[in-house]
Amino acid sequence: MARNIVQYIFYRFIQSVLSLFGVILIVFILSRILPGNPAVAILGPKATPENIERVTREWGLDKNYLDQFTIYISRLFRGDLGDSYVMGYSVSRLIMERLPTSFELVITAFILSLAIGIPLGILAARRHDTKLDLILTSLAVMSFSFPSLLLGVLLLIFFGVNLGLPVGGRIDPRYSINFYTGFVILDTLLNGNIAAFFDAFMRIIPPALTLAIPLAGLLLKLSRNSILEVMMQDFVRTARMKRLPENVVMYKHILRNALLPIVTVAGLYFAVLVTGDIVVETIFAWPGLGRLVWEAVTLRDYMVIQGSVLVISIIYIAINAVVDILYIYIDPRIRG
Amino acid sequence: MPFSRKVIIAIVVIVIAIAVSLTVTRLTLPQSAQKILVVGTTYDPKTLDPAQAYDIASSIVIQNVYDTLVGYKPGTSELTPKLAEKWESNENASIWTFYLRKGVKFHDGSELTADIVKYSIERAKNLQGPPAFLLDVIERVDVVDKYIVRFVLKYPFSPFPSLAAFTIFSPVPLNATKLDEKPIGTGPFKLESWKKGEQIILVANKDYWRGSPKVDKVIIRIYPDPATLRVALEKGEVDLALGIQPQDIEALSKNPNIKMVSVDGLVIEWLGMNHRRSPFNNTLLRKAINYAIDYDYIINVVLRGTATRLYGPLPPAVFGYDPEVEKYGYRYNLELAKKLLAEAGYPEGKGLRELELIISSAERAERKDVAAVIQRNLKEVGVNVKIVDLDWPTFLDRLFNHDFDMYMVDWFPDYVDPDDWIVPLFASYGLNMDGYNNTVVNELALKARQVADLNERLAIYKQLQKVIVDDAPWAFLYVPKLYVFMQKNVEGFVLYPVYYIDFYPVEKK
Repeated sequence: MARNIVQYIFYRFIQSVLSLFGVILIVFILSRILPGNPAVAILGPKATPENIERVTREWGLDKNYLDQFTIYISRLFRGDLGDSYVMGYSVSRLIMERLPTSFELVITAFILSLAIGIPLGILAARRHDTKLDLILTSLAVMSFSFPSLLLGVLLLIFFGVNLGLPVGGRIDPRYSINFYTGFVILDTLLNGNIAAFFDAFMRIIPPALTLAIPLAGLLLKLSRNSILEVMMQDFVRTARMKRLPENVVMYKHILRNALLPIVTVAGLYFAVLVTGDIVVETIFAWPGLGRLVWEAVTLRDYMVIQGSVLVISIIYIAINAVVDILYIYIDPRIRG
Repeated sequence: MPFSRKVIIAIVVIVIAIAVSLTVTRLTLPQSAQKILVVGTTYDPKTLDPAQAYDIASSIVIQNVYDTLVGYKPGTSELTPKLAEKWESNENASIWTFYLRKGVKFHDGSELTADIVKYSIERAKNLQGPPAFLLDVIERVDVVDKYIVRFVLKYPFSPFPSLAAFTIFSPVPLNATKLDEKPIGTGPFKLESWKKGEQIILVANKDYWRGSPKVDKVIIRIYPDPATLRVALEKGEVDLALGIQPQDIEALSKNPNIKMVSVDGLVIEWLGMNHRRSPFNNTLLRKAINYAIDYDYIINVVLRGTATRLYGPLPPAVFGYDPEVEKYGYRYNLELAKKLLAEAGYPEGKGLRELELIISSAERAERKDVAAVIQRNLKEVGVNVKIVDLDWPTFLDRLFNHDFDMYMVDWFPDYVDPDDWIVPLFASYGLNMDGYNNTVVNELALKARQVADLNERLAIYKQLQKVIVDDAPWAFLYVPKLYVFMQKNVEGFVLYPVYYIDFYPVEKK
């Protein structure tokens, strides 16, 4: 049995490496078939043909795709993501600057969505086929079909203008904070600046909510259905017949079994949040990874596009693998 | 409800937490004896090295950390001494001598000398960054004595002093490294920190040669979405906002808590046509298009008065602009447009294929609406236009490969001299995007840059404007105004027609 798990993890690892290679290849090809020359994009409308040629040569873009790809891969194996054409810095540095910022937002959004989605899902399941259930499930459908651009702007105006709370950016620029973790909320506390902490805390809520609301709706619907499905099963009926308290039935018997699809979706969605927050990062002036990718695409900064998509893919694939392995522990049936 | 107690406790805790944080954030805004100016903008700089910078966001920071040899008189595009106290040229404007101000110190304490100017220009030429083409005119730089530097040009070039106001002419100290991140200039502010994509903090250079700036610190905050910048301005989180969109200008100008300054700019926006192709090789057709566009509607309705009309190749704010152009330039005239179209051989547009108009609204959002009006206007005379909205790199690619029927774009000058509109945009040896080729224009444009006498130059540019308008190489559209919004307590800010943002004289009362 233990051998099975090791085998499974090994198999999963090989699969991850293969998917990663696929991603590298696809992103490499995609960024090259985008119309528009990076040299022109950076030098601007007044670029002279000589300058364009020189820059193209400097960046090795005059080589054929196979050579470019070989160089890229060989640098990758040495842990080198290359340099940004526009900024001149190494891509890994640009990503490391942005990654904590994105993570802080995504983790907050994730916690919010779990805190909203799952309890409401349990509530809807317990009161299934009542008016409350109908209202909750309708809200859930609404929440994940609502465009995030609109939701973001509405929340910006509601929190910023109607409630008069601080919005936009991670913290009021007038606070000077020393950064230790890269997570503003933690760093303000480490600085012992309570006012700055509250400022940062209030600022993360609207963008985090914008990301969290669709996921919360999804989790609500999913946990409701999953719980209902489990509720109909024989062992629950048995537990109820044994006159176990309702809470024990709910949390010990039902929820444990209903958790599986929720873990999967939540895990995958975490990775989606890291990639999918370009709009939110733009609206709320949040300098994260999503915006780095966006800026790189608009400037055809190939190395940054490739590097950030690679990092995002690693996160995505790693989470996928972790979710699969978690399965084994949650659902003993897979162990067989 | 078995856990209703817990729910109630949780709700109470949350409500208290929100209430506390609300009061705390309201009451304890960072109090400090320092005068801090918070500036909101929409773009992040790409580099802080004057040899590499060729975008507005980078320039704003560089202009305040460095000084150029030549400056502008407050609120104008007229030249004034800065690091150079005076300058002069030989008779045919091919050798320029600059006399440097004495006793100017870099942030690292070293002194500005002619050697450093020579080094800085040569460094920029060697680095070959995006703006390096501006130095192509320089053959060599000679040090005459400690404070006198001489530029020997490859050919006579009378706009040279205006070129010397560009950021690439900012001296950098010898042997400085990593200037793209850690700039060291002679300017009124020093860089304290730059968190990419988020903010830049500048601190006052107390030893500035013109005296210390009026604020202790400038924080430049990046709001990629202009709507968020507007909210931040209205909430008072930002003292000064650069990059507010035209559609927000009307509402903000009515806000009693906010001040606005505006100035006619130097950017021109036009509708270009591909003379290499039929039907645009037909001057009558190009004229018909010029008459068919309802410029007043575009400026007053679409742009809500945030631009003025462009009648010819030059915007009104540059010297050499001939006001006569407003008389002979094209105005909306539907009948004349139809008549000219018929004379061109396309009565009511018969025989004309669908024309493609490429734009990039990613670069300027309002361009999409303007293009739609032009499409409608041309439809009225029988010309069918298809608008293709591209992202900026794709647009540039097609523009440079001359793969278009028509395009809309804007032009921002690198130096304020008619030369920087006429040569790149209308001479066949310039960028020549349209394929326009008129030997009279080619010769006059070359002559005008080689004449040192101002009056003679003005006469040539007057003639050039007339010739170019007669040829109707483009449809001349408009000149966007520049706007900056600020809190009522911000004083001393002066807006320049050139994109020169100067924090030095700004005060907070």
